[in-house]
Amino acid sequence: MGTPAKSLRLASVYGLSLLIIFIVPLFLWQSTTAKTVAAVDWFDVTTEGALFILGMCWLMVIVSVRPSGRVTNLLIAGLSSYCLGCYLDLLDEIFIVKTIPVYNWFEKMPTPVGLLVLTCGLWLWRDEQTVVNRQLQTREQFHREHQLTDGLTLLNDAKAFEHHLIKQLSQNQAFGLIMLDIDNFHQYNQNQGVEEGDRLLSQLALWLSSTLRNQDLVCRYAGDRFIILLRGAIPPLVSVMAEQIQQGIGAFGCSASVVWALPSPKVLPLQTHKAHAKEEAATLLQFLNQKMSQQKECRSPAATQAQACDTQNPSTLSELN
Amino acid sequence: MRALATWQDKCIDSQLLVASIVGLFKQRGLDSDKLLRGTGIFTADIRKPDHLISPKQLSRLLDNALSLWPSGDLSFLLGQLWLPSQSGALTAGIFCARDLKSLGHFWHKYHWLTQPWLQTWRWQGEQEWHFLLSLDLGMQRHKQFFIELSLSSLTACCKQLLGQAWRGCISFPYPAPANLAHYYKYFGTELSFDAPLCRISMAKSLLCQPLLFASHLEAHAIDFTGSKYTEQLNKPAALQPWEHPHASTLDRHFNEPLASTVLGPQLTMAKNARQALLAHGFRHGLAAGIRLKLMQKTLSLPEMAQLLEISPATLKRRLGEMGLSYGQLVDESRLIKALYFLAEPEQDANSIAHSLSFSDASNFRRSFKRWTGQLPAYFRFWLA
Repeated sequence: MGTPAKSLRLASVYGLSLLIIFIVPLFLWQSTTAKTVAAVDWFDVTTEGALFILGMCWLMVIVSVRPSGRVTNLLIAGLSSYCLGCYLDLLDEIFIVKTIPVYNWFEKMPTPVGLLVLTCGLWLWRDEQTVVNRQLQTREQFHREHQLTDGLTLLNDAKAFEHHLIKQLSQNQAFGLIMLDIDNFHQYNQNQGVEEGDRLLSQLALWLSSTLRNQDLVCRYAGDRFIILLRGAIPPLVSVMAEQIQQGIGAFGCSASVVWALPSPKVLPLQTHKAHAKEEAATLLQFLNQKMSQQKECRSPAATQAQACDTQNPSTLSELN
Repeated sequence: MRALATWQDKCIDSQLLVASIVGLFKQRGLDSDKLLRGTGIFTADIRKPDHLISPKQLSRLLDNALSLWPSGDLSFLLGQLWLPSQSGALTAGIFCARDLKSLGHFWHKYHWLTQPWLQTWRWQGEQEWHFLLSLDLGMQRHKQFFIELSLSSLTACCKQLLGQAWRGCISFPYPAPANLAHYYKYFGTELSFDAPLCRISMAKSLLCQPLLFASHLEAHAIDFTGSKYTEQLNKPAALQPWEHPHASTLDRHFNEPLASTVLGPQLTMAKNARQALLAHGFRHGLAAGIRLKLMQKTLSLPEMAQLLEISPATLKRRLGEMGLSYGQLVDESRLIKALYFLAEPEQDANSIAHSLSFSDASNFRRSFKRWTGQLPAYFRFWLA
């Protein structure tokens, strides 16, 4: 999406609308007589004026958020034409226009044409959105809530993850959790600059979401800590996945600590379902974080100890089961 | 003694925290004009050395920053940047410190230059050092932000200087927040919430561990108050607020002929900080200054006003601007003292009530319950 192209489009849309707003009344002023103040139906003026202003607002929203392309052009053309129709409608409340035959045609056409074009645009938008939705599915399984998205990596944030975890817990299905934390990210940030650190995080997020299966969910937990929910996972899969991730991160020029847990599905009593799941989720997250802190502690002094830590990892499994 | 900084006094260096916030906003592509709107700070000011802002301006800036920042991690990001970009005149001294203990001492002495909104009290327990954190300059309206900021600068700083993760436990004076994930990530998992005060506890062994950078230098400490410091440590667990009883002691230490001692290079490192502090117009905020006096003796509002050489009405108004009341400060200092006393095994409710000038033990219990929502027994050995 080119910013200069966008601002050019913006300028032309506003230029044209300003032109129409000033030229047409001027033309009418020249050629016809205005109604007297008493003859003007002020209620009509208000409602038609409101329609016109609303239309302009929609136009602004579309222009400001949509990436450029065919769909956007159609939407803009349709909406501007509709706005023009509204505006001309508004003018005939003030001027007596019946005397100009061409104007009558000119007044009636923009609204229906605009709405037709808008409909075409909307239909194409629908096609576009289905493609986008398919793309999004590789990132998130569930409906998208834009408040719960992390601005930097475009992954879900910790709050959203908790929400998904609670949902998963109340479904009584097997799942696995993997948490990873980049080693010495603090130093990386200091040596390479914060911009570079941010780039690493977003690249890592992209890589993680493409590596995982469709039904898995990766979230940015906090800072350089990520958390992954593996649905329907069996123990070997989770450990292999954890190992794979740990190795894969080497390609980004850094290393990471990875811990995982495989909570057993529990049958929860129905009444206390929601509250129970919430509690369970909080304990699980705390447990994972604890595990992570421990591993971080062992890893930092020497690499040899890190290995000892890794071998301890399967204990996670037994403890939870 | 120097005047105490009030709500409108220019006493905060805008090169540090403010510049970092603006920098972060620029880096993330957020609108820095919106950030500075209504604060009376201009982008050009931030580049000026020695530009100072008032607590009022800072508070407004934080209101803007917190509402514009898209997620709950602003304080944590800023905390990570503290040592490289917000430690100002303290940087050199911090890198020269022998261990966390001397670092803490150095920081405490000069933190007015970098974090004037903090006031700390420390207490030596059996295994651990406890540090209590209070906020000054009316910053308690952004309590959570400042506690997150200070603690994440502490943990990031320790991580860099020790080469390993910070260990310790922290109690927060508010319920578990929405961004708990960041707490786990940056502060570890030994956390508790709904505490009466912010308490940070660190093992004594951690505080004595030599720092990475100091091993390059000759292992000398920067604490030029060494003799006084060890003296304090040797005292049987008596009340040890970190603050010097009189601000003038600070000046006395500055004037000591230090250059002749063994501590040569480190002292020149600390010289920057020393000079900066001497040049500064203030040394405490109003709340911190009053708390210090209250720790020594419980005074009424008119007595305090007389001591500060202002009228009681002015004092009340100045505190009101910061969203504080005198009674609040009295309660807080009494609570701190009560917690200190409760940590001592030989003290019982009667003796504590007496030393806090309550008429009897049940009166003390009732007040304690009002301050913390719990009975004193619940916090027995909280600072042990």
